[in-house]
Amino acid sequence: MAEGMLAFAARRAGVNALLLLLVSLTGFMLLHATPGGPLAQFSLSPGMTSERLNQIAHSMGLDQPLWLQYVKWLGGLLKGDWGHSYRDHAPVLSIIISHLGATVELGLASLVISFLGGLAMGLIGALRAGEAIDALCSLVGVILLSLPTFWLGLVFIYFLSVRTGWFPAGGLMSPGHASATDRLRHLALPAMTLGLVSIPVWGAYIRSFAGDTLNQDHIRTARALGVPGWRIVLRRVLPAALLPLIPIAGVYLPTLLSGALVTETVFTWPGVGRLFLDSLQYRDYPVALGVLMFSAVLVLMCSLAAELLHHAADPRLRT
Amino acid sequence: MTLLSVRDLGVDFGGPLIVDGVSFSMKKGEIVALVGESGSGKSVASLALMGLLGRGNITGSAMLRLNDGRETDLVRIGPRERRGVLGRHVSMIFQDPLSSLDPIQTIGAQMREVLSLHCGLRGGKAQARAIELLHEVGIVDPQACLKLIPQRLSGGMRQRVLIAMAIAGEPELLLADEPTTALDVTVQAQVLRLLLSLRARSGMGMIFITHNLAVASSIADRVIVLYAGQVVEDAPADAFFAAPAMPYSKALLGAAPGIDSVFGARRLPTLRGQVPAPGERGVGCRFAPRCDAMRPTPCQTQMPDLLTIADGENEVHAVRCGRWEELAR
Repeated sequence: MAEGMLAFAARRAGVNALLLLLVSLTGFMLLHATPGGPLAQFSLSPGMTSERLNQIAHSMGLDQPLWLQYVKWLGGLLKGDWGHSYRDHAPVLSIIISHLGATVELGLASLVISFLGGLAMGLIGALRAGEAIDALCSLVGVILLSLPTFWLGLVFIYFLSVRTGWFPAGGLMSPGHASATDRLRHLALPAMTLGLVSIPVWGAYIRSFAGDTLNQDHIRTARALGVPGWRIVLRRVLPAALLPLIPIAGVYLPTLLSGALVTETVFTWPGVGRLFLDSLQYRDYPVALGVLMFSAVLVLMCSLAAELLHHAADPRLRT
Repeated sequence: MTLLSVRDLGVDFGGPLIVDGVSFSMKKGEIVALVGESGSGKSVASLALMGLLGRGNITGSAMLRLNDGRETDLVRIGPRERRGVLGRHVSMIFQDPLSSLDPIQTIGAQMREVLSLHCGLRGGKAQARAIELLHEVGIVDPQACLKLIPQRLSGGMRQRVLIAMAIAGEPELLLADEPTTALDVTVQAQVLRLLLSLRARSGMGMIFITHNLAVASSIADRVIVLYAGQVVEDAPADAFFAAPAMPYSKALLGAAPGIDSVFGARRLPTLRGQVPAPGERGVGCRFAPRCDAMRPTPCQTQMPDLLTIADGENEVHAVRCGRWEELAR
């Protein structure tokens, strides 16, 4: 019912606003509680005087009471003014957006790899449950799952880049010639690294959901009516296994879009994850806080979108 | 004319036989009730005929005569050929209509799938035929029903839809595994009437699996009693309900609640003990440990054969009991 959906969306929006407020408060306080505080970057500069430091603090509003700083920052967030980087004074929001493209590219590419791999692995496991190939899939899954991302990334770089020269070792593209193939070649290794380690996650979900469906009575009915096996998988098993994946994807997707810290670092991939690490390293508080808030918004939006999508896709929920 | 001839059907899952040398045959358009307690092997036997067991070793044969005169052995056919037989020549309906339909596809989508598979109907023709079929099984508003997902239908309506899907390919034989057990008593009667009227219209034979003798008596032409994997009595329904020959059948009929037991006129007799597990069967008659008419010989020493005790035109009556003649006197 449209009204029910609307009420649901309104209620969720309220809860989400409250959650965002909590995240902003916690994040703000945490960063201000770190040793050194926001001024650490300046106080460590050679030749810095306390007079000059006070001046900087004053110009950035850091001499005001903490609660006032928070309120001002929060007000700015709502107006779209997320503050300015301490490093180059660029607006935080536009910095994040400029890093978003690379992250989305990597995230979606790895999602395609991990989802397709997981789909194949999960379906094989469910359809051949208990057979040797099922055990093999589980074994491969456990191995993939226990590979540390940074290690796998370095192995790829060593064998597929340094030793053979097949792929570039890092970066978004070669400087100068940004052709599509060049971008894809740069994307290949980080996407494989990030994708491979997530294959068993999707695989486990799909194997479990598809296995549950295969054991249901209606599959036996379809067989008893002579429906071919491939059709049963395509029309009955697959939709039933994919529906419960929608809310799970809603949780998983933002972890990709808010940046893959390790992979982006190993492959010097200029994404949001790298931005977050860099800003922490440089004590660029406005940017770090901005990425934090951005991730929180993404998490809430994706899970809300997933729930709405799930609602629309599953006829059982439309009563 | 014989529709199905099952010879020496055996099923095991790597251990003792769950279905042990079951033989029977049925005529075109005949309704045979396969009766037995839980664990008698009646469901396993029917799933074995359908090729739906998924595992286990199946021996023996089950020759099905198709309407075009061809014969096919339901035990031997390969998976590919079986797909051409299931739904078109043999269909099956199951005990739990609530879970036997795909919960996320509309009734229409599920019916169109079967119609396109077995009748080559698509689009408007499939839609028209689906409406016709639903009408035939007594769904009041077929058009609306086709747009619904199963969750919106009652159990009785779902069983009707499943019956419509099962008869869409106009099969010669319908296997019905406790199709009314999960339904209300009033709905039970409606579904039984529906199955009888479908048989009258199409001449479809039916194997009706049930543990409920009242249901069997209201639908069956013939009753086959299974006990511990074996056929112990095979009789025309009239003869069976009038004068069962096997002590087990007698005990079953005696233990069925009737109107007088409901009003407390007599205490309902019960069958003591339970069906022996497949690994715990003795050498003699499998019913002997629970049988009031048991004598150490021959009952405990020798497995009785399934003996034909009457062989008229429609009156083949067979029983597996070493003392049936004495007991009949």
